[in-house]
Amino acid sequence: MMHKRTSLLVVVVLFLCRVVSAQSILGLHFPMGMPASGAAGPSLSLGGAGVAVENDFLGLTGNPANLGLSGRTTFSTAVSGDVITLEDKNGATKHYDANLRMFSLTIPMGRLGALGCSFEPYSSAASRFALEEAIDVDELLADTAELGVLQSGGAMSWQIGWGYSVKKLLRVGIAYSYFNFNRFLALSRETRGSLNDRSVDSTSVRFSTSGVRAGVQVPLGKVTVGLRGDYYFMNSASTSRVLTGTRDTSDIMKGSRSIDFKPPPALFGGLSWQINPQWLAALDAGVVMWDRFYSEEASVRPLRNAMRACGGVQFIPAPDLLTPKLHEVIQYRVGMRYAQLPAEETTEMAANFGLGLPMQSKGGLFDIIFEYARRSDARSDDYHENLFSLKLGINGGRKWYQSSSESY
Amino acid sequence: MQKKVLKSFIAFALLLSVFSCSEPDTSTGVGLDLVEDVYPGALSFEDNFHAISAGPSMVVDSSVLPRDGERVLQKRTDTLAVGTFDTINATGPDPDDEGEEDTLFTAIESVLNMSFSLHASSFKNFRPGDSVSSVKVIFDTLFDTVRYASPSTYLKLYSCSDTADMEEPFRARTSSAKLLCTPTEESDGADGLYINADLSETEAASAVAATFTSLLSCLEEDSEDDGTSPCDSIVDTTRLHFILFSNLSSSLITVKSIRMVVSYNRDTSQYTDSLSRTVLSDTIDACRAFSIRSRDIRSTTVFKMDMSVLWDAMEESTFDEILSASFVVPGFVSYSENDSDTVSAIRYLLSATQYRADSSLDLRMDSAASIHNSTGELAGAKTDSLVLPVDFFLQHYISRRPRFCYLYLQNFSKSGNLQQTKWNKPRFKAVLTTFFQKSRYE
Repeated sequence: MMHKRTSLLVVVVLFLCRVVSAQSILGLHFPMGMPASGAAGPSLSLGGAGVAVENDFLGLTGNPANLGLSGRTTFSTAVSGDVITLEDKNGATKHYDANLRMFSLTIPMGRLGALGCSFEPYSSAASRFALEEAIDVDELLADTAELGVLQSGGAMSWQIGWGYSVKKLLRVGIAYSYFNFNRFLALSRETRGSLNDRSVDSTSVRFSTSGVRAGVQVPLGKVTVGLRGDYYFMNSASTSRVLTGTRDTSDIMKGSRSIDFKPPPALFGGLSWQINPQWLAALDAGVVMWDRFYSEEASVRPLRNAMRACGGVQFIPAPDLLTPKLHEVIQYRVGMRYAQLPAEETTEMAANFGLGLPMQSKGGLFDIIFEYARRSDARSDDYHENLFSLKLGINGGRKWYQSSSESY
Repeated sequence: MQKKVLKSFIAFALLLSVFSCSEPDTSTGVGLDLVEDVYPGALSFEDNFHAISAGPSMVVDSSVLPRDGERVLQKRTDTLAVGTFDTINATGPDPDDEGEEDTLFTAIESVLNMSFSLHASSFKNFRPGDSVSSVKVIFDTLFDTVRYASPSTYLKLYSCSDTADMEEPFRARTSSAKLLCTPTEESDGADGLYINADLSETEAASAVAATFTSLLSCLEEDSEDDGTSPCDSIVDTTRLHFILFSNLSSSLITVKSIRMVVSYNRDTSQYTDSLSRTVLSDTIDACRAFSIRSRDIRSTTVFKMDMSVLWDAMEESTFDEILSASFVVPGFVSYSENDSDTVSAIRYLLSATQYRADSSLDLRMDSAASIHNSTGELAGAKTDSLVLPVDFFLQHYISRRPRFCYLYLQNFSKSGNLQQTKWNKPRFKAVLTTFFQKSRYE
């Protein structure tokens, strides 16, 4: 009973969290905002590598083929608190945000493999930029004019998939993906002081489509090789533009239209090496093919195929002890990530450190991950975004049946 | 252990959810170059804001409407309703607007009562048989002639009476006043300039002469009687009342040394008597306070505004949207009957329609905006200025762009009564903008 209440509370709390990341000015240059990672905790602390990592907590987030590994019901979720510092030659500002990173559930189907579903953020379009200046309208009155560019929204995807292990030689998986993208952009002009008025030129876009995520994992002794691909279909996005001013309370102008929109496909390869029971190394590399992204929306700047490479190592001091102490089974992980962002000359570097605290009685894992990421734009040398993030993940699993093929 | 971990996770997630449900991120000003790359022009203050302002000169006329239900406006085109003050209703032709039907009002910015009591000692030189050659009301002024034109420009003299005993025109109408003349500026060659309100050509002069004659005759008869004076009653009740109006809103005109000068012709000689003003509120302070209090009265005040400055700016630039527009009434002062009743509700309306009692023009004060004011000092104001946002009124006229608009002002006390108010001429200020940013989808 206690366990059910706790689970319910976890779900409620997760729904209270927003599914966005701290704001990014650089994200204004990308069609769907700043890319976000939806990896599960054990993958997040390996720099995001997970395509070839054999870990049933990852569900289908890293690779749907990973579902074929699962012999028990597992769930995984993570939340994060972010502090992002935006800096340029004129100064720096700090911004805080909290968000839900992901949710994954895996249900084994015995000989039929396993089913899984997941929810992952794809990008965050949050940007809040504003400039203000004193405006001299009347010598007796003090007024301020403000110009703002405010953007919110982002993209996320829901997956439901199936994975199967072919005689432990090969694992395959495929998932249906529902992709959703919303963005609201407001260009505002505002006066404050004795004059208090605001006009807004806002544009919003709503888009959803279907996609496919497929993957394969091939265990080769201590090494596992993985491959994963994402593909989304073209669909119509509805866009609308509203000019709102002080003319009564009504909108000055409204307009809407449909445009064709297609998220970019992506392909990732991975390699993991179980060096020994204590050490694990993982490496992913891939590309998000922005040259195949399509939108009738004018692109801010040239897009490029964004390469990404990430990797990390995991160390467990004494993984095989029957009655270990906690510190002997903690999973220590470090990872790094280098990612090209969608626009040319934009990159992200990240380093992270994580602890996986086993919850032995239930076979669960509690993740604590610290990440530092730095985003840069070569076209603007003095601009950087520094992100400090604390992520907490919880992973649980329960075996509901005993396979006849296993015995003790 | 597991429960502790779960509790820690839930606590952390709850903390995050509080963060995420709180105020959105504060905005940043960092990364201007990056944002300008995306939205060129959207962050240029020059391209997005155009401030315009106009001083009191855009007020081309000002007037007051009578209190609701008490009086109706005069309908005769040669008669102007110049407002009400206490129980006095002043009427008279306005020489500046003769024959113009559209101009039903003239301005009242300050009012000064002046009275002259007739005493025997006043007529040192008058003799029966003398003919009155001129009657003048003369006074000196303290006035900023550097900033303004001659004070005579702004002054008008009315006669009035609240008694029925006087000769015309002082008995003209109970509780009424009549325009006598517009004073002129003259020099006596010695003391400098003074203001001369010459009543010689008016019926007031003959009225004064008749009064003098009857009074003097009475006094002569009285001199033959050593008993009580039958003229006492006449002397006590014989007062000539005038009201001096100033329509200058931006400055006070301080008046002193008010006297009435009556000249007589006798044979080939001319004689003069001078009557001093009867003291009612004769000190400078009292005069000043009285003038301010009288500036527009318990009624609806109307300013006729020349809006060319706004429409011309919109015509001559690419800024075709009104973002903000306000009238600023500097030095706003509200006089409450009750000291505790200090909260004001200002009801105002900007309309291209001029209120006329004899027509059914669509002027609805119930569509007016209201602001509440307790101190006279509003947000953003450095002085006691009243800021009246009017952009939502002007938006209705953005296509028509009428040159003249009428600003109707009412000041209500907490108890709902119109209050005496000092309304200085409003200044206008506005910020224009434009929606030039093209959507990325276009």
